[in-house]
Amino acid sequence: MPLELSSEIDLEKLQSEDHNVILRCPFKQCNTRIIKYSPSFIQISVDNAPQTVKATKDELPTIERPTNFYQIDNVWDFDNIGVSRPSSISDDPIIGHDSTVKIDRLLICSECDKGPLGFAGIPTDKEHHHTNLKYFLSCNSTMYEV
Amino acid sequence: MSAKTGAPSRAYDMIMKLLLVGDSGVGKSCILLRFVEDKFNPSFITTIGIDFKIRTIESKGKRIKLQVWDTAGQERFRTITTAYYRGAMGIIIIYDVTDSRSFENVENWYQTVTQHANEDAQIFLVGNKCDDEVNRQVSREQGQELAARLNIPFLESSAKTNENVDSIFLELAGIIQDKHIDDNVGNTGSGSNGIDVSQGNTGFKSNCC
Repeated sequence: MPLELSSEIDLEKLQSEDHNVILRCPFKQCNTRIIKYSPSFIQISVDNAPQTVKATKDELPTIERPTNFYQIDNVWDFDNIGVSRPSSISDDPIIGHDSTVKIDRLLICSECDKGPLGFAGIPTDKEHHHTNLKYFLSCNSTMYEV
Repeated sequence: MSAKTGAPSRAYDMIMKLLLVGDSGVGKSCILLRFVEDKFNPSFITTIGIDFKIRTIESKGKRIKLQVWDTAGQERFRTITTAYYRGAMGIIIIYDVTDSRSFENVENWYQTVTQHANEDAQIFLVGNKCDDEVNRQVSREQGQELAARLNIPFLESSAKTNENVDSIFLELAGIIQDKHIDDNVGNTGSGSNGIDVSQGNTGFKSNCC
């Protein structure tokens, strides 16, 4: 199956045509399935996110400061993901779809351990418990199997 | 963390929470995170460490999502609480084959686990660092004997060479899966402990990798 970059595909069109879209680890020797795209993912724009991996077509991924993320509220939507322990990753909370979130965890590929592919954190008004985590997967960090 | 059904992407048959326990320094964290540093395995990730991983495996025709938790150094203070064990279906007790003291502590861990975990949680014994034959203090036979006495499965592993690391999770998941099938004989509901979500599955089939 061909792997495309986020900039090369039209997710809305693919969804309307009932295509399955699988987001995969951007490293060629891995390409582990991270998650199946779902319209329930909320795409948000963040201007103060820390750096993540940026997938490229023919070369090694690079590092960028991403602006577009999928907000994923249920960890079981992921097929394979590593979630770091809490740490001081970003001082500024980010504005999620429905809450302000203090980002304190990194997301990495659970197979090759490379990343970060995104972040996770707990809304500032919620109890500090992992069940309240919200996950932000960078749109540019994965390859898209269409 | 719920396992409600219905979302289109939730194509799995079972979820399992697994825990890694054992003395400090036996290599629990290395089983979850390779300590290889390069541009994309930056040291800050290895320093922070992994809290948990979601991994999807296929076992006996079923798609199983594993959530594997590390103890985050809490074992040093013996503060692993009942909350940590709650809902765990599998608990992996790890010792270091190059550290006989960690092996001697396995029985203490076994007592702690049986005290706090669900009665039907499956315990699994792992002797880690088996690549280091020069410094080995605990033989494979000693590990096997202890496991037989405790009536739990056993493997030796090396997080360093990746030997048997995947096998730990595959074998443990397979045992839990079998137990669960046995539990459900004559029970067509969603399972006595609520982890079989296949009833609400849309029938979507997909490879996990």
